[in-house]
Amino acid sequence: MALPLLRVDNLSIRFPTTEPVSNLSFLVNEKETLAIVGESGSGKSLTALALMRLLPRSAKPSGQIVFAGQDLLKLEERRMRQLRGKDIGMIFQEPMTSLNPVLTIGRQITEVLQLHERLPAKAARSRAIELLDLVRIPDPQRRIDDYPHQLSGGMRQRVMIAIAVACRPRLLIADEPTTALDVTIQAQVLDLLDKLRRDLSMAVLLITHDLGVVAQWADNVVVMYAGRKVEEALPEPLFAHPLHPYTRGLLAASPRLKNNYHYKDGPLTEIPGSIVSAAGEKGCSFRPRCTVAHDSCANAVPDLFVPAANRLVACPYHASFAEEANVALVN
Amino acid sequence: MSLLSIDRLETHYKAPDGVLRAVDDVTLTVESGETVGLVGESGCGKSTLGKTVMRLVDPTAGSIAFRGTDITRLKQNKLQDMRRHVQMIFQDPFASLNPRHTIGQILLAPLTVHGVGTKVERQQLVDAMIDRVGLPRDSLDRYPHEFSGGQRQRIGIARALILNPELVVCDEPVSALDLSIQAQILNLLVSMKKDLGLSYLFISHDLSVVRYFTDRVLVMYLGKIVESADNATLWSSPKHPYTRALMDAVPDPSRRRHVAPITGDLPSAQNIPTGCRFHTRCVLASDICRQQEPEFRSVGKTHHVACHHI
Amino acid sequence: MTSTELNDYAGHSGTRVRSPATEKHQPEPLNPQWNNVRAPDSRVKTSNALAAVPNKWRVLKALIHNPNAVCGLVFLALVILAALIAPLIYPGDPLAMVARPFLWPGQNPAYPLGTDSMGRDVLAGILHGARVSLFVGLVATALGLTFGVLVGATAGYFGGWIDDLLVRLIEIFQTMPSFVLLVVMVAIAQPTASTITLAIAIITWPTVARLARAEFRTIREKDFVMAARSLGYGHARIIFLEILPNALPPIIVTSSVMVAGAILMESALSFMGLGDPNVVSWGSMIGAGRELIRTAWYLTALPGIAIVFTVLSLNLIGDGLNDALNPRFTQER
Repeated sequence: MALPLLRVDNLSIRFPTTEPVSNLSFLVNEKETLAIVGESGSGKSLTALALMRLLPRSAKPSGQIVFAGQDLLKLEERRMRQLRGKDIGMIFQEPMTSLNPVLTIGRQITEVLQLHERLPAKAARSRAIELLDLVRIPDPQRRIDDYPHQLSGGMRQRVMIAIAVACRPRLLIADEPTTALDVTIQAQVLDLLDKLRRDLSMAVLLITHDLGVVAQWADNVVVMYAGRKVEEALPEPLFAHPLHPYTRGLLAASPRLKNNYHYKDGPLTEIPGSIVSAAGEKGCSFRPRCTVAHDSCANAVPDLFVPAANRLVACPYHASFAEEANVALVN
Repeated sequence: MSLLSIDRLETHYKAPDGVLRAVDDVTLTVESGETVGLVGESGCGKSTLGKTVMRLVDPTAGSIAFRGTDITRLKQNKLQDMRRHVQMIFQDPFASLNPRHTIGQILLAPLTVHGVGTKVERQQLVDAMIDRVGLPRDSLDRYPHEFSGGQRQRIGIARALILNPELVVCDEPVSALDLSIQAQILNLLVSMKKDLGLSYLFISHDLSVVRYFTDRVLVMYLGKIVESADNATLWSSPKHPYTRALMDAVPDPSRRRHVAPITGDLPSAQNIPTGCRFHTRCVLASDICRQQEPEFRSVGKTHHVACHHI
Repeated sequence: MTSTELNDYAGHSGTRVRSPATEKHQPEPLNPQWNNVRAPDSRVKTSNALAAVPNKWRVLKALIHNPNAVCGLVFLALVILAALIAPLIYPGDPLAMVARPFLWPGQNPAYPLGTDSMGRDVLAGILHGARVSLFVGLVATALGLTFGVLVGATAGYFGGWIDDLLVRLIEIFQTMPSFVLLVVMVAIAQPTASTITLAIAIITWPTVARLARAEFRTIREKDFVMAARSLGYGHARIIFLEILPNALPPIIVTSSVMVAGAILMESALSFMGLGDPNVVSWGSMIGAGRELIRTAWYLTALPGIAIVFTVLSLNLIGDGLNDALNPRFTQER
C-alpha cells in the first residue's frame, strides 16, 4: 500500500496584497507521481517553491508541509539546506537559465555530490559520468566536460535531471519540466523521468499546464484554479468524467488529435474571460467564467465534496454533471 | 493561379562557424481561402520560412510569388503593395506590441502609412476592428501592458487584419497562451477567416491545434518539407516516419506510460546529415537513407512524402 | 473522453461562441473587481511591463519618492534660479571692479561673498558663472545627444556596412584622449562660449552613439519592430516612432551625467585659462584665485563648492532617473 511521503495541509501563501495560494492540501505517496495541473496564475509554481522553502521574502506561507515526518515550514534553514538537493530534488522549466553557463556540466553535477555526499573529487566524477549515462546522454565521458551552451535544450534538461537525482532524492519536484521542449523531446524526457521514478523509488511531483502530459504520466491529479484546488482524482475518471466546470471547460476547449474535430465542424467550446486572482474574490474564484454559475456561488468558497472514492471536487453542483456523465455512458 | 507560391526557396544564415541552412529547398502553395499548416519542431526552419514569406528575412535562392507577382527580389520600398495583402500574427503577444504606443496608435498607424481613407474613415475602421476582435472601445487609449496575453493577441490580430489582407502568416499564434485562452483565439481566427475570406499560413508545433485548424498540412524537418497532405489524409494515414513519430509524441491518455517514440535530438541546421536528413533518428533507416536524399514524390491525390521506404 | 462525449458536453454547456465583446462587459456589473483588463494571466509579466513603460507621471512620482533625487532637483533648481536672476540682481558686468579687493565674505553686507584680488564681486561672479556653466552643459549635451543618437540609431538600425563605417568613425573619436582633443580644438578656434560648447559636444557624442547603437541593435530584433516592418512602415517611422521611445530611458540617464561632465570640462578649460576671457565662469574664478589659495582661500572654495554641488546634483538626478526609468534593472540588482 502506498504511504504518504509528503503531506501538504492547508497551505496558504500570502503576499502583502494578495493570496495566490489558499488552503491547499494534497498528498504525495511514495514512488508515485502526483500531477498538479493549472494555467499560469493558478499558484502551482509558487506551491513548488513553498515546498522547497524558496519563496520570495515578501511571501508568508502558513499551514503544514510534512515531508517524511517533519514540518518543512518549521525547519531551521540549516536543516532545510541539507534537505534541498539531497532528499528533495527540483527541476525547473527553463533548462537554458537554470544551469550556470560558465561551469562545465560535470563540475555542476560533482558539486552537488561533494556537498551532500562528501564524495572525493575522483569518485564524484565517475558518479557524474554514471548519472549522465543514467539520464541517457550519449557519450558521457566526453560530454561531461561540455559547457551548457554546447548542449541542446533537451540535453540540458537531462543534465538538470541528473543534478536533481544525483543524491537519490525521495521526492523530485518537476516544475513544467517539458514546457520549453519540443513534443518528441518532451516524450523522451517524461519517459526518462518515469523510468528514474521506478529505478530510484522516488516520488514525483509533476507541475504542468498540459492535460495530455497529466493524463499519460500521473498516478493522481490535482487541478488548481486561482490558488485553490478545484478537483482531485485519478487520471482515468478525471478525463472520462470531469466534475468541476473548470476542468470540464478545459477539456472541451482543447483541440485533440484523436477526436477528428475540425474548424469546419464548428467552433471550439470557449471558457470566456481569463483567470482572475482569488484575492478580493468572494466565493468561488471560477464563478466569473463559469457557464453554470448560480447566485449562491458568490457567497462562499465552495467546500470540497467527495462524489466518489478518491475524488474531490469544489463545486456543489457537480452532481448534475455526474448525471450527465452517466447519461452519456448509457448512450 | 495560387495566392502564394513558393518555389525551391532557400534561406541561409551566416553563422560564426559556417552556414545555417534554416530553409532548404522548400516548395509550397497556398490557395485562396485555404488554411495551410506548417508543423515541425523548433529549429526546423518554419518560423524562418514565415519571415521569408513576409520578406522580413531575405531569401538566399528560389522564388516567392504572390498572386503571380514575383516578390522575391523586390526592394523593401517596392513591397508596400504586397504588405497590404500579406500580413503576419506573431507568437509572443508580449513582445509584438510596442510598449510605448496606445492600442489606438498601434491600429491607426498602418492605415496612415498606407494612406487608407480620410481621417474620419480611418478612425471608423479602427473602431470597427476593435469591436470585431472583442475588446471594448476604451482599450484604444490604453497601453499594451494593461492587457492580458489573450487580449494582446486579439490586438495583434486586429493590427494584422486592419489593412484587409488576403493572406495572413500566423507564427504560433496560440502557443504562448494558456489553454483556456487558446480556444478563444482560434475561434476568433476561424470567424475572421469566414468573414473576410482570408487564407492562412499557420505555423505551429502543436499537432492538435493544426489538426483542428488547417485544411492542408506540411511537415517540416531540418529546413525541408518531408510530407504534405490534406488534413484528413495526413491524420488517418501518416506516411513519413517523422510524421508518425510526431503524432506518437503527443501525450495521449490512452497510451499510459509508453516509451518515447524517437530518440535523439534535432541535428544542427549547420551540419545537416547526408542523404535523408532524418536518418539519424529514424527507425527505418537503411544504407540508401544515409547516401541518397529521397525525392518528394506523390503517394496519393494530395499526398506527398520524401522517404525511401514508402 | 471520446468525440461523442465531447460533443455531448459541448451541447450541454452551449457551443455558441460567446461574443467576446460581451465577455468584457458582462461580468463587470456583477463584480467591479473583476476587471478583464489586467487579468492575472498576465500577472507576472504585467509587473515587468509596468516597469517597461514608465509614463511621465509614474517617473515623476518615483523621482519624488527618492530623497537623493529630490536633493539633486532642489539644488539644480537653485542653480537655474541663480542663472535666471543674475542679470536682474547684478545687471552690470560681473567682471567690473566694484569695491576694495580682498573683502572677506560677510565683511561688507553689500558684497556678501566678498571680493577678489581685483575688487570684483564674488557673488555676482558665481551667479553669472551659473549662466555660463548651465549654457555650456545643456547646449553641449543637447548637441552631443542629437548627433550621437542619430549616428548610433543609423548604425544600430541598418547594420551591415553602414554600421561598420559608423563604428569606425566612433572609434576614431574614442581612441583619442578626449580632453587633449578638447584643448587642441579650443586652442585652434576662438575661445568663446559657443566654440567651447561645440568642442565639448564633439568629444562627447561618441559615448551616446555607442549607447544608442547597442539599444537599437537589441530593439530592432523585437517582434514589434518585425510587425512594423511587415506593415510596410518606412525606416524613419520605425527609427523615430517605434524604436527611439523604447531606447530613450538609458540615454536620458546618461545625458544628465553628460551635463555634469560638460560643466566640469568647461571649468577645467577656464581654469587653465583657455576659457572665454569675456565672460566669468566658475572655472575661471578658481583659476584666478588659485595663486591666492593660502591667503584668500574663499576665492577658490566658493566657486568650487558651486561646481561640486551642481555636478553632484546632476549625478543624483541621473541616479534617480535611472531608478525611475529602469526599475527592473534596479530590482534585479
